[in-house]
Amino acid sequence: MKLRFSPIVFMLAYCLVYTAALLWDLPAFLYYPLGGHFSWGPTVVEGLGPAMAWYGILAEAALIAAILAVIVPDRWFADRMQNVLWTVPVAAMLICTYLMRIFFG
Amino acid sequence: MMIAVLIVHGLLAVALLGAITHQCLSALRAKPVRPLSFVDRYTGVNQRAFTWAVVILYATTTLLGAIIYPSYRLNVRVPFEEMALGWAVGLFELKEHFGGLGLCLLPVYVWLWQPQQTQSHARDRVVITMILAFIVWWDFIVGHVLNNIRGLP
Repeated sequence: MKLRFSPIVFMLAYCLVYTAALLWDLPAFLYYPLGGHFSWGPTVVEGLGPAMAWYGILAEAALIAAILAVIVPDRWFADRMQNVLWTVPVAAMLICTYLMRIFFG
Repeated sequence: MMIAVLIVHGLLAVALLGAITHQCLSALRAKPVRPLSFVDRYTGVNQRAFTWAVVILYATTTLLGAIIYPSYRLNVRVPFEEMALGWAVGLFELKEHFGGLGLCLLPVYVWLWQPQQTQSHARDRVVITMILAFIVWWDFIVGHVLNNIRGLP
């Protein structure tokens, strides 16, 4: 069986997982740059310094999206979302902007 | 070491900025205004030729950004918080998330610039290219502004 990678499914799934992980604070892992430690899940381990969630969010979004991009055929999305594909990343960026409003208050 | 990586990160960002802006403006151009004008020369490029250059430059620039990110987190963000510069932290958060989302656009961007999709996904191709251009410009400007406030030690 030949595996086919769907770039459309990858983009859609990645945007959804990335936004959901940001919205509900669910990174796959956290990185602690002070000592170079990692911890699984979103729970911050005390005493390890500041935690970074970005790598965990990137990794889980890329992994889940890559799996779905191989499983789900892109024909359905390519036809039905013709010329509106761009709305998904724009929506994801707007949600990110809305979630970051706390820094500008 | 981190300063060297930051400089290479910035230089690659300049190259990426040039490539994506060329391609984006060329894709947006409806028709030549004046033969051999500056605008025509700037936009009269082979649009497809930029695609893989943009992908490689974007991926490499983001990778270098990810390498220097821990140094920012410890040596720049903490002082920003101590100086009550929440807006600066927020700008970087947007840079980080836009850059992360831009990564998922690269496969579909390559697919959209293939000749088979020329007619069927014309609007997607132009708008996805514009989104990538916006992300690159945003990340570039924010990176420079924040580095001017407080650079990496």
